[in-house]
Formats: sequence, structure tokens, C-alpha cells
Amino acid sequence: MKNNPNQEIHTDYRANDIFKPINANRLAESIHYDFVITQEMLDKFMEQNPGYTTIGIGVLLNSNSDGTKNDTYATLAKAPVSVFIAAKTPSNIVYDFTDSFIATSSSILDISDFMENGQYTVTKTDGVVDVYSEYPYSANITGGVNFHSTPKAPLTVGVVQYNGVIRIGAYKTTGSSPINVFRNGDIKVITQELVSGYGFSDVLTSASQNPSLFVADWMGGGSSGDLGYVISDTDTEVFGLYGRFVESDKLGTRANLLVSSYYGISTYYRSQANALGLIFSNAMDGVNITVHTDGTITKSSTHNNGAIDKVILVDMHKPAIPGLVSTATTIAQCISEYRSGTLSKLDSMYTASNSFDFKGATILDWYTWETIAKEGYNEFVSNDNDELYINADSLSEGIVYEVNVHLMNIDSRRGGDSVVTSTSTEIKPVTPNEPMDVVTSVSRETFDTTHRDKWAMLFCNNYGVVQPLKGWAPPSESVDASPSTKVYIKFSSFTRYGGFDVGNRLRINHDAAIGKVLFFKLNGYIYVLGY
Amino acid sequence: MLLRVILSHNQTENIRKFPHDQQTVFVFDAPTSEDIKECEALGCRYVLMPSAGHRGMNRNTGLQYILQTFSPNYDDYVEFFDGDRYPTDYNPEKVQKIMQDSHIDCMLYSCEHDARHKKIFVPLSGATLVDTGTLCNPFYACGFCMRVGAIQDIMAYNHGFLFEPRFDKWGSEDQFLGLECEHLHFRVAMTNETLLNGSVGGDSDQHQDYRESLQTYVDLIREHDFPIRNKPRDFVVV
Repeated sequence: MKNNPNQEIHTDYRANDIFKPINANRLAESIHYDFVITQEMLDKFMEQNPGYTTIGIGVLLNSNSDGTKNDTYATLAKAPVSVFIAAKTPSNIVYDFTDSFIATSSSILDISDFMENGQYTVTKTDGVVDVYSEYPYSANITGGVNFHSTPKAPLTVGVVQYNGVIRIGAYKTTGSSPINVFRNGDIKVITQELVSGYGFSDVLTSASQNPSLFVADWMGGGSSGDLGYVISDTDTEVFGLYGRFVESDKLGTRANLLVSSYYGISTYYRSQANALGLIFSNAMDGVNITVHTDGTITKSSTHNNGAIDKVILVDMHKPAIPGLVSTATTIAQCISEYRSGTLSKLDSMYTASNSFDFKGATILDWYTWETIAKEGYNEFVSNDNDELYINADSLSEGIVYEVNVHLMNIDSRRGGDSVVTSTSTEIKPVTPNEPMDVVTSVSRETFDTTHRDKWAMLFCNNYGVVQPLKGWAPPSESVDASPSTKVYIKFSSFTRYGGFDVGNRLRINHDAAIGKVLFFKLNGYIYVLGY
Repeated sequence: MLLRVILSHNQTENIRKFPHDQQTVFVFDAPTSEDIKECEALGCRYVLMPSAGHRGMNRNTGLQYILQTFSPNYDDYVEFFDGDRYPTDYNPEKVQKIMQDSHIDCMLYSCEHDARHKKIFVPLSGATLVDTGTLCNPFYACGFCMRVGAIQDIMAYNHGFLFEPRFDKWGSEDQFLGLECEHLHFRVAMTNETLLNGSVGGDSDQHQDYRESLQTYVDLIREHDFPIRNKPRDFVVV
């Protein structure tokens, strides 16, 4: 094997050297790296090639010791291989694993074991390359490449950072046509062992397992009306997706869609349920996406920014979907169900008998809400599910956990009916031409959550017994020592209405208020430091 | 002898509010020309540090300057201040006298508005009003004075550092010092005889990035096998 003169070949790295034990346990006992990108290698390459914002891994590994490119490529290793990025990569640099690396020509990698008839095969694209890093990095998702990340070395794909997704693998979608591994849209992205970050769900490979994440093309052409664009190549991929959303609702969670396009990644929030299915909206994109009861997925119109070529659909934030092995780190409490002019709410929440298990996660984002009022009626419902029970037995010793509590501010109006949630201390009409008199019946105090002892966290053991807490004292005012089993959340910031108002579409402003609590377990005791 | 290390970052306007005698050294993190101009106008000693935001190492550097310049004795004292916490009620002679008379190794200063008193100190009745968890918290955020002999003991214990250098951002390096004082059985006290401006306790909005420091802190506790006490030990108000 020929090596880059700058390259250090490490054969004695162990997972514990790189990652925290909690994450290392999830990795192989010993990892041998075939390629290591050193700081010197990267620095010299960037010095010689200053205009690069996307760096081909093959080009970089094949570069000369002075950083200049070497256009003569010889096979250095045979796949499968592992790559370790030991360099602090500037945030504007994106690594590309197709350029002279996984390529059928002018490449330093022999991928013959993954090819049939001169092409990457449908079935053998799993695990061509494993990528580890000591530092955060950005990469283009590439078929056959498993990206390993940790909280310490998160991976950024597009605009989304995956803090501690242990593995993102990319595989071909089903279909008869040959995979083009170099096109992001032709592959399915799969995640394993979510630690924190966005809530990809699981490794799923067949329709019967209800995949939760897939990539597909929107069909070109068609009008901009409903059902105009039909997602292709998804007959099996989408199976069960509707059912999973329904199951999620029963658990008191609220799954959203994450849509990735050429223009970036945006979240589509649930706006409505009707006979067709579930509708997700993003006001900024100006698009509604419907997950139909039969699993078909459609979108309503062209994208505000133009055509979308490739779309990733993800169901997010599933803390406890039965049958799944991974954990999510977001609790999105159901906002409301609005039916026939009445308001109702879903009541599930993590309780002592069903406490939240962090599993491998370290950060939890808890989305919650205060009150929903209906325009034109003097009625509103408040959220009584304001206590979150955390399984203390599942916490690891010496790991600092973080819970961010987000109070949401929601204005959902469709067809003249409106459902409004507000957490502002002062209630005002959401839009000037549609005053919402009913909301004034809610007193100012009702919405002043700054110092209210309302939202709280409790810790219980596997048997549902609430555990005593030890406060970590200042700089906290949110940790109430009496009773010493409950941590009240102090919200530190409020925002007023804002965001985008596009016709009658949904508008959601996250983080009308934020509360943050840090805690850790030491010698069996839970210590809490609130904010 | 009472020596001082004052850490300053973009706090030029506060320089004059500190004692600026020959026993004082200002350590400037990312110094500006105004900092230097002001210092030279006052005839102060100063150390210039790059923009690192590394409070512990900057304080360690100021301490090294003090130790090398003045060669203080075991029973001399060094005060540490942050640039935003200038004393509003301060009598250095009284500070020294209290420390000598009470045989105190480390004395923590109070703020004008100090929420720590009611939060940290366990009442004599033993009521469980607040379970502090550790002695470290009173070290948070404010100035203090240490006996040079105690400083030397901690430096001998922790590889030559008074402040643990692994806290490469702000946060917890002073609190970890509290744990070291606990471990070495130092006599620590808090005093109202020196008051610093501002308030402390509950300034939550400033701590969004604290998790990383806290993790380092917890890691160090486990590494040193420090016991975590539920109540302060030998902790008095003087």
C-alpha cells in the first residue's frame, strides 16, 4: 500500500481514545484506520488550493507532501476501508467522498468487491467506507459511506448538524435502475444509534419494517395543485408511514417532516389532519406535504424557491415508537386536535410509570405549549401535562445531560378558523386585520411563565419511584430545593409574534421561551444545575 | 504583603476602580491600546495575553508574574479579581488582619447583591433548606484572597497550576479550586468586609455554553476521586 507522505497510518487507535466511553461502547472494540487525514495534510492542501470549499477525499489523500494536487492516481487500498479525520476542518469545507475516492476511475480506492457488471450494485453498497473524526465536519452524503459522529465530533449534512448520530449510512433506494452513487438523491440515508440531534429513527430495510426515512425524487411536471407531484420510487418506502404518525400521536409526541432539497433542509410542521391524511406545512417554502392514509406522499405546489429535485422525508422525534431500537432526543407534545369547532388535546406525557429514557442521548429538547384558544369562541384549553419524568436509572454516571424546554407560540389558521397558542406575556392579535378578541379573556398572569412553577422535571427509578435531587446551587434560580424532588423550569427568554405569514398557512414560532436545565449523576445521586 | 491579580477583558473603564498600586498586576485578555494607555497613565504593572478567553490560564500567568517579581513569603497574600467585579467597599489592611487572626487560607469576597448567602449556607439548625452538593460554589464568579502558602500547596498538588488549565473556556475553573481547597483541608471563609460591585447568583442568561465546562468539572471530580459533600465543610462567614 502506498501512502501519502503526510499521512500517518494509525493502527492502534481504539475507540476509547477518541470518543467518550458511552459512545465508544457502541463502536467496534478496535478500529484500524486505513487513511488518516492529518492537520498538516489538510493545512497544506488548503494553502495550495485556497479556493476549495468542497474537498474530494481522494484528491486530498493523493496530494503531494507540499499540498499540491497529484493527478496521477494509483490504487492505495481496497474497499472496505476506514478513514479517520484527525484535522480541525474549517466549517465552510465540505468533504466529498466521490471525488477520486469511491469512483470507478482515477481513484485511490479499489471498489471492485462492491461492483457488478461495472456498476455499483444495489445490494453491496453497505459499508464501503467508514468515516470517523475527532472534530466536527461536514460531508456530502454518499452511497456506501457510513459517517460516524459523536457529540464531540458531530457531522453536518446540508444545514443540519447531527450531534452524536453514531452512524449515518447511505444506501441505494429500491428500484431497477442502476444506482448513481454520486448523486445524493439516488440513495437512502439510514441512521443508527441516535445520541442527540435530529431524530432519525432506525435502520430499516424493508417495507414491513415501516421505514421512517427515505430519499426520493419528486416527479417532474404536473400542475401545482394538490396531488400534482407524486413521489416516485416509494411504493415500498412509504409503507406504514401514515400509521407511524398515528402511533406517534397516541404516545403524545408530534412527528414532523424534515425535507431536504437543493436549497437546504427545512422542517414541515403538522398543520392539519383530514380525510386525505396528514398535512405538513412550511410557510417559508410555501408548500404543503400530505402523507395520505395509504402512505402516498404528495405535495401541493411548486417550491417558492423553484423546483425541488431531491427530497428527503423524515419522520422526526420518536421517543418511544414500539419496536424501534433507537432513541430520539426530542419530546414534542401534541399541540391540539381541532375538530368540528371544538378544541381538544392529547394528554400523553412521560410519567413515573413511563419515564423518559435518555438511552445514549445527552441532550433533550422538550417542546411544549401553554394554552390554545379558538378564535371567535370564548374557549381555550391549557396544557396540564407540564411534568416530565426522567428515568434516573438509565442515566450514565458522570455524564452531563441537558434539557432544553421550548415553549411554542403557534398561530394555525386555515379557512377562517384559527387555533392560537400563545406564551407571550401580552396577548395581541396575530395579524392586524384579524383581531382575536377571545384571547383577551386570558389574563396576563396566565401567560407569564417566567417565574411560574408550572413546567417541571422529576427523576424516577425503574420502578417509578421518584428520586431525591441535589441542587448544584448557583447560578441557578430555577432549582427549587423544596420539595427536593422536582426541578421547576425557569424560562429565560420570550419572543413576540414573528416569522412568516403566508396566506392561510400555518405559522409556528418555536422558542417563544426557553428553559435550560443541566444535570448529572454522581455516585448514584442526581445533581441538578438549572438556568 | 498583599498582591493582586486582576483579569480584564474589554473593561478599560474599570481599571481605575481597582487598587492600582505597585503590588497589582493587570492581566489583559485581548488587550486594547486603551487598556495599555490607561495602565501606563496609572503606572500599573500589566501582562498582555492573546485573545484566548482562557481565564484560568490568564490568572495563572498573572500569578507567575507576581511570584517571580515579588518572591512573596508563605504568609503573604494574593488577591484575584475579575475586571467586572471591582471593589466598592474595600480595606486591604482589614482583609489581611482577618486572614491572619482567623488563620484563613482562602477568603471569598461578597457582592453587593449576593444571592449566594441564602442559597449556599446551611443554617445552623441543620434544616435542609438548600442542599449545596459541594463546597465549590461559593468560589463562583467573584474575587478572593489566598495565602501564598496555600497557593503553593495547590500548585504542588495540581502540576504547578493554581487554576486547572483544562477549563479552556470560562466557567468552573474557580469552582474546581474550591474542591481542591476542600481536598487539602484549607480553611475557607466568606466575608462581607470586602464588597464587589454587581450581583451574583441566578444570572442564568449568561450560561448557555456552560455544559462543556460542567462536563470537564464532573470528569475532574471523578478523576481526582473528590468526595461530594452535602454541606459545606469548615465554611464560615467572617
